[in-house]
Amino acid sequence: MIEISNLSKNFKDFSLHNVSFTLPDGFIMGLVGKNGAGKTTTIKLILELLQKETGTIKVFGNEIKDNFDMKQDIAVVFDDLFFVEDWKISDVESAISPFYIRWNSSTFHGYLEKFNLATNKKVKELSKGMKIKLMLAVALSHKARLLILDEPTSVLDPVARDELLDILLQYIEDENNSILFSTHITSDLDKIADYLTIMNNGNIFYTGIKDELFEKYCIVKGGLETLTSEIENHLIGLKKGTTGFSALLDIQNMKYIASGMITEKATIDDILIYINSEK
Amino acid sequence: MAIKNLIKLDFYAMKPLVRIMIIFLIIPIILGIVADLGASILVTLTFIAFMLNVVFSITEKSNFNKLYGTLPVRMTQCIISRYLFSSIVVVFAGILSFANYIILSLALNGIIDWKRGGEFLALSMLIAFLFISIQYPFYFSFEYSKAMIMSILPYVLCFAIGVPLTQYLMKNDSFRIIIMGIIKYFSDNILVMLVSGITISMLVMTISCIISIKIRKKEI
Repeated sequence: MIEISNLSKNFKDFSLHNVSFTLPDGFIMGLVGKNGAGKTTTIKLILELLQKETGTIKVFGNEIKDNFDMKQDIAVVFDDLFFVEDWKISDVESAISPFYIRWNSSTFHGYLEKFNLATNKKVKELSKGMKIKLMLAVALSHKARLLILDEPTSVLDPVARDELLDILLQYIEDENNSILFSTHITSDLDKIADYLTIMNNGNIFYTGIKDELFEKYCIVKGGLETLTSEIENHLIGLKKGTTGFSALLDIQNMKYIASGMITEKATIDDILIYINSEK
Repeated sequence: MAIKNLIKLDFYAMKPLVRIMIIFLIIPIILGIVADLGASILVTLTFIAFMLNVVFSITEKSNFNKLYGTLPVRMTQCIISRYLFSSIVVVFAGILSFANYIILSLALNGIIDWKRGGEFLALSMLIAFLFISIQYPFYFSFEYSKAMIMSILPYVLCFAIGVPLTQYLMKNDSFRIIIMGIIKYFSDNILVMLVSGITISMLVMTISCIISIKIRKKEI
């Protein structure tokens, strides 16, 4: 579905370095990282909103720049609305639907009903959560095969987030559909993601099957006296306190664990925190 | 097809402002009644040319850059469609203001001075397209608030250099005779004036559009 290899883009104060990942058909990939890690830049590059410097981006096996009609099959929900605030919801459909050959008005109105969005309501009268729901209704109404979400859940309350996750799971029931889900609310990914791509300062820290991530890394803790320079070289994001330390460890370096140290299962949040501490 | 839909999208973006624009268009009608009928065409089209910049403010505020990224359209098509949208609005405003000129001429004077009306229409449309051509590359390069200031610079520059230069050149008799000759020629040949106006307008709009596309491509 999406194949990205060696993608690079340089800005004055930020660079994306050799980003590569693959999202197969029928799966959900979580794109995680702290703010400014490069998630939105990657999405903008996929959508050709930015021009890449090196690398290739293939969606459905082709580069978008060669065939913009492919965007008929891509739906996007950003964290902020891209409709005119004075539009009524009915205007949104009138303005956007002509662009999509497979626009389904009854699907759109079905979602509006589901989300309690009245067609005569103005966009500016909607709450942030309702705005996200409106974007989602638009995104899901033209039978796109790829859904890209750029931090849509950050403004949603837990109930709305749960509803959204249910809709995404429903969407993915069609094995031809895939979702690239950028978020920093990692609990959402625990529930629905099959694949994970973790970004840190414009680099890929991990990309692959979600469950394999937890088999690959663990948290190691221990007293300062147990910390040797040998293991210190293999620890990621080492944090030293007055009495002890904690860090992320690649499972293949377990041999360096000394007695007195303990290991714990790492969560996505843990991994993000430790890789961010790594200099 | 994509360009047609993008033009429609711009019309939708401007939709909330239509009422305000119509209210503002009463000013040239009043001006036509109390001052000069020809000037009312000029005022209408100049007002429309400046008012069109608001579409950049609305689309910027509404994150249309992101919307364009989600739609099956190219950035080049977005820029071309903006120029076409503006051209349609100017032509439509030109037709309306000319109709207004005819109605007011009949109501106030009982006769229609077609020549004067045609001259003002050609000149006003040329000025409107020139304004758009000068301003739009700035709006495609900078954010609205910056572009609004930057786009005034060419006029200031033209005024600062143009006025003293014209005054200096007009002191030269042979130059003045040539200029007056050109003005008289266009004044006597209204059709030539119209065709020249349309040709120059299309040319400057095309050049401006190409510049905007190049700037935008460089930016992303």
